[in-house]
Amino acid sequence: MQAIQIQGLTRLYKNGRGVNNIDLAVPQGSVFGFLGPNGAGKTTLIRTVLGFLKPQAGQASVLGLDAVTRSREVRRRVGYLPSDPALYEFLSGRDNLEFALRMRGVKDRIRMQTLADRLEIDLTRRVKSLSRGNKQKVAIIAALAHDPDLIILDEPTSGLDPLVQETFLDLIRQERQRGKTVFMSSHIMSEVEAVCDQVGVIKDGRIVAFDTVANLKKQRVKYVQTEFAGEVPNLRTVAGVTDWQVEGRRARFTMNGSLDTLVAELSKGALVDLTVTDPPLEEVFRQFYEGAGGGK
Amino acid sequence: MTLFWQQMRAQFMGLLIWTGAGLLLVLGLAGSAAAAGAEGGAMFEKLPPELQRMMGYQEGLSTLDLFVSGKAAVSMALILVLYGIVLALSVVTREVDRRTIDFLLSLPVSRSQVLLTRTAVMVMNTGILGGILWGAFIASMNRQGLEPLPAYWLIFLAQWLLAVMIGGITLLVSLWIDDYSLAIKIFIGLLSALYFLDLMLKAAGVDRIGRILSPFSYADPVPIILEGALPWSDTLLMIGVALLTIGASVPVFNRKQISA
Repeated sequence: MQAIQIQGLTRLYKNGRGVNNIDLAVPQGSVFGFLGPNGAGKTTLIRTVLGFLKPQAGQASVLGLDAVTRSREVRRRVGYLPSDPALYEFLSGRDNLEFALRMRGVKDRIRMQTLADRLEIDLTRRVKSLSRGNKQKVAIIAALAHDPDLIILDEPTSGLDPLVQETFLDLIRQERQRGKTVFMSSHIMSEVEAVCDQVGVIKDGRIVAFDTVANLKKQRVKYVQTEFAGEVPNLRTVAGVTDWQVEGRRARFTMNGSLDTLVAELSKGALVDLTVTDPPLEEVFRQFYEGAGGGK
Repeated sequence: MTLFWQQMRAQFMGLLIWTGAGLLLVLGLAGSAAAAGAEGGAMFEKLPPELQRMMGYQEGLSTLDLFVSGKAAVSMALILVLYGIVLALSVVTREVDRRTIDFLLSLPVSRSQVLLTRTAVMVMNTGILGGILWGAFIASMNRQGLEPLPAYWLIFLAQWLLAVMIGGITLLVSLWIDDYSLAIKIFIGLLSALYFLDLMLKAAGVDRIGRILSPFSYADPVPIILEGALPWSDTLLMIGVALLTIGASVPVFNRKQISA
């Protein structure tokens, strides 16, 4: 069963931005990374799924429930962290969380305290007096404290220091181990690469790539390092070779094309060593956004 | 009930501040009521007829009643209506402006429930504020041996309904405005304009029918003091408009698109 199933979903604003004819399926028990720069449509999609925005076309179901007609039940089983979370400033962190848990009919407070201990946040302080990072921690606890089946996080690590980011990513891994589904929008590749099983890339309101992290990285460019016994053959004219750099008998370049052609050209020289590596996800992501690649 | 008490708690400090400021004004007015009762009649008679009409001077009213209708009731009506506007804008607009709407609507609660519960707080708190102000005013007059009329409590009821009616209109219109400070400026500006329009119409001697579009005319204290009862047509109209606007706000809020 899919935790999130979206078919032909469209929600466009007057300026033409938003999401357009999106199809997406997020399997239960997975961590899904939703990548895209600001304004690509990530938040619009999330807000449409959660009922903040009504779709103009298409449909979305969450945990088997229609996102529009059964929005209240959906929200009971979902934990949501907005991209710019705001809590009630006149209340303490604990009172904000107590309010949310009472509204959800949850009596257990152990999980709330456990999360607060993990994130090292003092819940007795008024939200008004908290730093941005600490407000973010309270909002993270609010999204997780009721032990939801699906956790939707919109740029969750913004405002968190690197140590807390690591703790947060551990929490996400732990939730996956417990069989929970996590849908996480981000433009920070390293965190997506660290925890996500699958990735969707959104560009101008459309999904341009959808695959596992490993496959996405394999799909396109490769980083190639070569060492020759003699003179380095000139490979810069080979189709797909860019960033050509020669240092003595070594050459480094990026290959964006058929490896067969490359191997044929390499064999013309006295090849001693060859290393082909996948690029970091940033590079894959950059390609989609520079229009070098289409999508699936 | 969690939603209701949370909103009551959110508004508690505001209620305290409004009550404190209102009490200062009202008790100051009540302190001058005895002097007004003794000398006010002569003072009113010396005023030009336009000012007399503006202050509600009318035959059959005692000088104390003139003081109450011309000064105290006007002040309290303005306080209650302003407070009603602030509370109405806190139902949705302030939540959207401060982005706490995301936190609230991510909970398993229907939008109708949010709107109606928070509107109930608006109705209750304007009633509490009005009750305290009028109660303090009447108690102070009693202590001075001035024998306030039971009809003064009816003026409170009319002003409460006026605050709820204007609150309801504010609530409905504010659903199209996401900027809280802009909304405050718009509604307080409109209210001031309507209040001065009503004063001008009264000064010009325009009758009740001619002032029908002025909301303050619906809680005019003079006919209430003279009749010793609430004018039923005005009372029903205020209740009707309040119910209509609050009722219409529910589907409008349900359809509202809340973007980031």
